[in-house]
Amino acid sequence: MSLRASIQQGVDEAFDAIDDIAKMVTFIRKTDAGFDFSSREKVDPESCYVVCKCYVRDTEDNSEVIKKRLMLKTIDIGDITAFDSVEIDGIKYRLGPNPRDDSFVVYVDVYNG
Amino acid sequence: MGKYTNAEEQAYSVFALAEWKAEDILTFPANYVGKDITKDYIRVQVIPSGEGVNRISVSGILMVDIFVEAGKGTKALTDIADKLDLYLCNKSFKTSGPSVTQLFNSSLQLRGLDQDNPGLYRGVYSIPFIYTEVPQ
Repeated sequence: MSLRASIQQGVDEAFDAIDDIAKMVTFIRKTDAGFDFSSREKVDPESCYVVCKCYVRDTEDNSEVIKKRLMLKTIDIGDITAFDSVEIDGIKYRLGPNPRDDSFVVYVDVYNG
Repeated sequence: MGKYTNAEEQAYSVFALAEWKAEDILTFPANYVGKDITKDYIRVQVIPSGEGVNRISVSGILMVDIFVEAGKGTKALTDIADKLDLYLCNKSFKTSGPSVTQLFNSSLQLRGLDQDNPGLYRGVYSIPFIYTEVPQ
């Protein structure tokens, strides 16, 4: 087994092991549809959805903003920067800047509102 | 509408023209989040920061950030600036009502590699404007 396959297997086992600590969340991707300068509004994009298993590492709630740190498998999501938002427990969060992706696991901060 | 909205509407109207769209230069406003931009593009913002001739008028600068591929010289950037001049320099725009936005002469600054994306080279095209509305 190659080193990459071996690491991927370890990551898969870890995500299997956390079982119900993980959540199924829905990442929402919006196809860029441009901007209409006559109406001065963004053209409504088409959305597509990817459901994947995600571990919420921690949550910060400072009464104005809720920030969650998410960890998920790269193989489940692909390019995280293609997504705009994520729905967790029925609440929509915006993806924060600078997600980290080591090609096995993606770490991303998300914010409500 | 107020002077800020009207000034923006009139300044943006040029980028809604079919002729501008035919130039095939991707055009976005400030505070726009886009994805997968793989060609040269511009980012437009109206900065109504100056005084007007009356309380319902305002002056300011129309700033256009021009982003082109880094490492290939400045030709693409100046080409875009010249095209902007054709549509903006010494032009007046009017949408509806007793108001007009008048643009003056432009200038171009080369700012070097973009801080957020060093794969892009950035220039700033700016052109002062006056939005004037006559009280009814």
